[in-house]
Amino acid sequence: MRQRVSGRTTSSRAKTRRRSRNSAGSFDLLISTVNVKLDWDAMIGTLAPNGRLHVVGAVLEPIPVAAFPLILQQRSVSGSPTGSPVAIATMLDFAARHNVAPQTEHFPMSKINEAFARLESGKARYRIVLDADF
Amino acid sequence: MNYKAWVTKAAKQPMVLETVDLGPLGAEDVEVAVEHCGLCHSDLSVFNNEWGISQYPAILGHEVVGRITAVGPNAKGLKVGQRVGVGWYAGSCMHCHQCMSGSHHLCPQVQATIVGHRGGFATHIRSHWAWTIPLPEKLNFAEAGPLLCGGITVFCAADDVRQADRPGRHHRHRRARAHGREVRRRATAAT
Repeated sequence: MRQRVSGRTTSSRAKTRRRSRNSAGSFDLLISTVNVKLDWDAMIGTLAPNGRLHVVGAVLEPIPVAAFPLILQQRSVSGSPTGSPVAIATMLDFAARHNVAPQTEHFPMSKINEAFARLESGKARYRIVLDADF
Repeated sequence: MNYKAWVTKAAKQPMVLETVDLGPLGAEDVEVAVEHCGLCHSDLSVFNNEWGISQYPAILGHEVVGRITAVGPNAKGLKVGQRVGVGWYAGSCMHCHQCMSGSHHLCPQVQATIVGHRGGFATHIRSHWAWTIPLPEKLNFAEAGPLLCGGITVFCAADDVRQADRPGRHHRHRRARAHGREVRRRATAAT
């Protein structure tokens, strides 16, 4: 199976359109981790035959899906929550074996309100970790 | 025991440090002294009550890394001093079909760590033994928090798709049928 990985973040509609045209029909799997509305037609358009748009970001607006782009290329749209305890243990082993770690910013827990404000401002790069300092 | 936590009293209200009473430790629960806790956007969504499910006062934080300080009498496989992680869920019923088949995260009674349960922005957190995951020794534990929510969510999404795409999927369906399980293929009839 052909596998390509691409990281995406929210960007302007025009940029999304341009990028999605360039990668039309090329991805086996697109995982949406953001909680905002995207250009869903464009996103589904980037999927290869049998490709799948998988939603894990809790976007509150419904996602409109046109039937033909799914039918003709046998694509699908799906979602999932977190994983089971065994899946978590497997993932942690995988992360330890391959030195996978998030990019983080650390705050002492006593600065929790500042940390929330920074996350809300969209400036965090990328995950914030609070270190206990009681 | 003196427990402290950063408490959200109502939506969008700045968190305040308070002493909290965690009550007696559940028979199947363990207690973890929090060392690090990731701040996930879901914490912010529950803080702002964006999903309409928040319960206040709330103690947020669901990417917990810490050491076990106590184990309930029926908690299995864990011991005091062990370094562990707790993620988005802190417990499940352990007897439904989903739990018994290893899909605990799909249990109808699964307990979210920060909704109706006290989370990890605190000195201590309590969680069911099965949902308290020992960390591999090689893992950089100070950075491991975000793996427990963001990490597993994307890992599972990619892994499920990989499994689904493996040749042999149809054989698994046939085997499932042979065992009397329904393989779901549904279509709505035109009306």
